[in-house]
Amino acid sequence: MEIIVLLICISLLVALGFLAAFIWSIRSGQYDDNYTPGIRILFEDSTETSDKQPKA
Amino acid sequence: MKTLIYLALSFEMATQQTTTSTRFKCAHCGDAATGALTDRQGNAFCCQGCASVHGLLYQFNLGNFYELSDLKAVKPREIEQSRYDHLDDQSVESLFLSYQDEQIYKVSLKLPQIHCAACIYLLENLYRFDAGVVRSEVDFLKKEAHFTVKKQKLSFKALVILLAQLGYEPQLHHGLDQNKTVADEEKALIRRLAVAGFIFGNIMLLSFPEYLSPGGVQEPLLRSVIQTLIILLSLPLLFYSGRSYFEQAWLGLRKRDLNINIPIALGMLALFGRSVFEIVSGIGHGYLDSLAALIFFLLIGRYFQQKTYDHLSFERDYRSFFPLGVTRSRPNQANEEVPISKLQAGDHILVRNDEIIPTDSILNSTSTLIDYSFVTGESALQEKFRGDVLYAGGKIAGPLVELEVIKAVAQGYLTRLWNQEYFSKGQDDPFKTITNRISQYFTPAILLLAVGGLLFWLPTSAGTAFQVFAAVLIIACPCALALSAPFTYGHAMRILGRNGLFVKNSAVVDKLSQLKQIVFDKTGTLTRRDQAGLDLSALNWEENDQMLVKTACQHSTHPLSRQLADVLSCSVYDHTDLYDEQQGKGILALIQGHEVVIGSATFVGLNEIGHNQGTRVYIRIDNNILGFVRFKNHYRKGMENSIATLSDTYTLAVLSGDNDQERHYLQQVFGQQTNIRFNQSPAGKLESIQNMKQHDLGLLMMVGDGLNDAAALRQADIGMAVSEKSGQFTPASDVIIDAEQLSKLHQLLRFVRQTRIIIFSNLSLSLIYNITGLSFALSGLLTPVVSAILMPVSSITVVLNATLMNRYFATKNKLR
Repeated sequence: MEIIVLLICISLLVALGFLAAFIWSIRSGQYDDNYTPGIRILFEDSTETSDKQPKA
Repeated sequence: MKTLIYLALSFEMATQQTTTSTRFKCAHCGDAATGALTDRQGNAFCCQGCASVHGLLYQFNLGNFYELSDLKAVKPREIEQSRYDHLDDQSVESLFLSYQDEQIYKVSLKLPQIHCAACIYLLENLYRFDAGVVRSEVDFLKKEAHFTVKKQKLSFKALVILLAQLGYEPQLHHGLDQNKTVADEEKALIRRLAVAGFIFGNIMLLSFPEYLSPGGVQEPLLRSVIQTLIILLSLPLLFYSGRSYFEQAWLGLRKRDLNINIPIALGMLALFGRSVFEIVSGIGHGYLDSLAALIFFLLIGRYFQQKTYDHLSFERDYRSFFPLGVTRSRPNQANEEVPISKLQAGDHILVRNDEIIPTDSILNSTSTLIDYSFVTGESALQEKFRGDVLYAGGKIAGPLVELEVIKAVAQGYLTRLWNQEYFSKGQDDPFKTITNRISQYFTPAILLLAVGGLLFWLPTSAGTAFQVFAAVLIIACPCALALSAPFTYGHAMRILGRNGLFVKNSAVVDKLSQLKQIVFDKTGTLTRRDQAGLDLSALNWEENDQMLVKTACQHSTHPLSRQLADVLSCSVYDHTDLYDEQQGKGILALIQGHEVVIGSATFVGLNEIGHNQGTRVYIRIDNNILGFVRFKNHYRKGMENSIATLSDTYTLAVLSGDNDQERHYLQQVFGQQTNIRFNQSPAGKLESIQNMKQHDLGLLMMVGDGLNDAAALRQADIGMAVSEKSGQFTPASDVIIDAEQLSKLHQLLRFVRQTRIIIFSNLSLSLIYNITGLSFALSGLLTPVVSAILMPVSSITVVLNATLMNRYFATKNKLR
């Protein structure tokens, strides 16, 4: 039975770790803007293809 | 060779376009273009600004912009660089910069023009336009961009000019970060919620053996470890996550106001005390899992009703309407830019076309036209002459003028009006939310029941008596009741927000649902501000007369004449023999042998007749007076229909700052009994609202848009500000409505009224649960399992009911 006590304590510690990580992520502003990054990732990096003028 | 093909191609395309359609689309902003302005590739542009941005984009390899853009790119406005000179002033600059050192500075700017993916692309590639930009990042929903810039290469002013040239003119005003405290509060709430959720889950897990078999774990070591952990876990739950409920209950008690937080706090304390007692004395397992569920659900409800609109500000004051700086002219020295707070009486300032007069002053130039519509609600331009006093807030329409300041900004007419007492309405609003109105009866009833149960059982057994006392407080803890309003109103706020009606907080939805009277402003609310047109119906003329008038008007720089020339679609004569424009009076011209006189009544030779008829411009050709041109209001589309429906339910009224030339029409739309008042000064509007409130005919809402309505908006129970486009200045208010949606006001308000049905159905639901629970509690049968089931089930049904009924009513009212 002692082993269960130990396991409970360890599991609680792990869970606390996740809670701390979540609170840290709020503090560091990761949830401040949850819209723009989704658009940003779709932009092309290269610009060589975009030199050409489109037809009017 | 390449150029040859290019040329041939573009030629072919040009001919194609002229044959297929005569209208061109601007290759940058998508507006109609004349076709006169094209680049070498045959792209047509509507204006020089669009053409140069288009050119710039290709020069810096940012052609991707057009692949992303919805072809509604921001139209760059022509900007005068000197307009931003005040940004070089250290004190102004530091208002905006969030960080600076020797090398770099960081700044966040509000760019209301951001509207599509292409905007993000362009702004985040700003470093290609200027090597001084180290990093730029857009926050789309807030319509903000954050810049990190090398100081030596690009000054703050230069950055603002660069953005303005691209069409993203930053909104540079005082006090734009009021939303920040709201955001901080929301973050704190999420932290509390996270902690509560964590503890809730863990206590549930640890209580699991208890659910399986009533004795729980029998092993002594394991049992004591589990119970200690549960008690330890519940401490931060109660004192961190649930703290605000105790604070608000205490606040209510001190104000002798039996708010909903009192039974909640009592219930929490009873749950905690009873559980700790049970666990420590070894009687049972306690109800700490129920306590965790309770706090977790309550916090979810609180989070849900906290809907914020990042791009709107409900708390602006007059300062965000005024410019930051102004050009001060000094004798024998170069002009300088000063922040308006540094202006003193006696200073001479220069104000350009479209700029706002920052403080009360005297006109030093010969004459000018001023648009006071935002301050007074009067739609016609006012003409002022040398020596006239100009009040702050007016907008110059015409060439640059010089003014002499007579009062510092803080002492100006508008500023003083704003600083009066009623603007600090603030916290002690006597309105009680529906939940708190109910808890006035609920709280004493619960306390009576609990004490009654205690006294009833006391003769039989003291143990059962205290058990019953605690059980009543636990089960009566109005979790479902407290969740009902946040979820109902939270949903309603989201639905209203999707339909262009932005509500400050959920208490305002509650107020809106009980609305009885609506007062409208006219200019800018019932009418469109940007479309004041000319009424030519009082003119009796022929084609030839029109040509003469148009020819004469073309020479004038007076805005009214220019507008008249634009409205007339006829052709013009090439030659004007004689032209004389008299400032403030009118135009005299000799064309094709005809004498054309355009101007005030006296100028054309009429006696001044009752000048209360709005701005009229008379026209005389030779000896023949043709009639007059009048400013006309454009009412919003669908407004008549909406008002007709609204008048069935609400008492309506109109307070207009304008003259009464529209009385007949308005009386027709609103009905003959409706109270319609004209020529109302800002103070007059305020007084009218105060009078109406004294009659006590129910909650009153003021709908308005300008600074002239600001006082009335604050004084009314609900102030609704009309916003033509997002990001535009709106006076402080409780509700902001998108101008386009104003014609749907009757639908929106009907929906809000129906939220009361939802609230009442939820209240009955939660009362049924409370009565069921109470019968368990009073008979002494409440066990942890019953409590652990009853509490979440009641909360979840209330939440579900609120969601489904809101959806139903929204579709029924044809809302998105």
